Amino acid sequence: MKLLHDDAGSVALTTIALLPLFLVVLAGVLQLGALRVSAARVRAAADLAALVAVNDQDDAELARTGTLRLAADAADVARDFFARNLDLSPSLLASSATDVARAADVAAFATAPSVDPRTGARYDRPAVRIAASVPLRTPVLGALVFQPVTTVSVLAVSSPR
Amino acid sequence: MSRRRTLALAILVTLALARPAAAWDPEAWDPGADPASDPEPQTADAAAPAEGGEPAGADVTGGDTFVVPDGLYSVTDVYAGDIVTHDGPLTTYETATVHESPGTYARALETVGSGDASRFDGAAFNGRASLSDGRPVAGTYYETFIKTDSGYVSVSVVFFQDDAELARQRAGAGAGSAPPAEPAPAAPSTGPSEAIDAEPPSASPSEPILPSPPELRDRPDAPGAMRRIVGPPPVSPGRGIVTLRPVGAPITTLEVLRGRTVALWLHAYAGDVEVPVRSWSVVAGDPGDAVALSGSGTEPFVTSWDRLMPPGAANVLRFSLVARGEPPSTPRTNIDAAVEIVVRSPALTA
Repeated sequence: MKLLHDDAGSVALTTIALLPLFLVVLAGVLQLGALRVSAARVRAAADLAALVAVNDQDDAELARTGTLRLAADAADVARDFFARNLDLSPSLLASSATDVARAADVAAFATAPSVDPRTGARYDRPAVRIAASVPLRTPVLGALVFQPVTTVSVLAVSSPR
Repeated sequence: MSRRRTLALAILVTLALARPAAAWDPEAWDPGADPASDPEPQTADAAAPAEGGEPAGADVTGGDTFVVPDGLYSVTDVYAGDIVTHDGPLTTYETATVHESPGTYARALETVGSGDASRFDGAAFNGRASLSDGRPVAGTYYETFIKTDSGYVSVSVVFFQDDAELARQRAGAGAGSAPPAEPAPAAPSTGPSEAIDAEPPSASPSEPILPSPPELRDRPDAPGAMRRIVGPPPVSPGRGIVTLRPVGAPITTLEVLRGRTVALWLHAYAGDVEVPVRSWSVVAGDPGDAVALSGSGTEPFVTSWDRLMPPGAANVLRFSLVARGEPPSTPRTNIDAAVEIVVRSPALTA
């Protein structure tokens, strides 16, 4: 009877039995954390690219009127710097930084006020907007029956204030 | 007793021989004095022709005798420019003056009415503007003199325009529907005036027309008024402007990015003619991280701002310009130039 009521080692068995589940949960949490960090880096890359583009002003227009106007190539500058910023974290991306930037919807609103047809937002000053869908690698999620690539949407808008 | 008599006698004698010793009153005018013996012409406030317009007297200086032009007076107000103002259909031609005593002398040559020809036409350095119908405006010719060892030497002739006209505005004038134009009361002309087809020569369409403060003009036709004017005229730039290029468009408000170095070029204009700037200096406003707060006219004001302005605050940067006349011997003039600075910085909005 004593043998039947002896529960010594049951904790170890339970641990062994649930360990895979614990590891899956842990891996999922770590992957989600990594995904959040990756998304933050992508968002920062878009924000900084928009800031750089706004900082590129039309000097001729400034000399003529004294007011800030976006340079004619502000959208190209934003796209270029977006790619450059993404290229600093290639291991996070599921595709090349250049392809991501090329596919991004970059718009420069040189005059104000203006309304963004994509978001409906109203800009009271010249603004640059970057909207992109960035595919990020999520291998752990892929191993856990989820998709190995998670697409993160970022939106960055900058204007001089 | 004898001493008392002697003292009393001395007092009586002293009193009897006493004569009043009146002090010389420099303000008093001796009607019996010979104008020729007055080495200086009268001042403008008392510039009536000497002895009722008699021929000029003689001025004795250093033993030499020279002629004092009739009607000469000391200049206390200096010609500063022609002013044309438009108030509806009324166009007024006036002359701006600056209260100044340059040490020169002047006399009125001739007062002419609207359309009247004058033998001095073409002699004035500032010309004589025309009404909208082409007739010359009314006004007065003045001749300026400087005093030398050999006498009063004429240096220039200036025309002080003083006229006005009513005319149809072209934009609102329908064919035969508008009332006929008529001369304004100030204009002695009786001929019909046509619609204003062009700006007078002294007015620029793009230039703001300066008002004419009443204290700046003395109408020669006003009772008791006396024109006290004339040159040699200093260059009187009407405005100072700021540009971002050595040759560029004037700006009144400048948006500048924080930390961005900008170069502001300062210019002075007399009417629509640019005059050289001898020097400039910052007199008000936040100059930022300026390289220098003053400089010559050939160098810009270079600065940058590292701080944003508080919300709603304005930074009006004011400069004092010293303009140089042409020729360089003409007096210099201080004018102001201002630009409002708005410091901005790229920021995220979403």
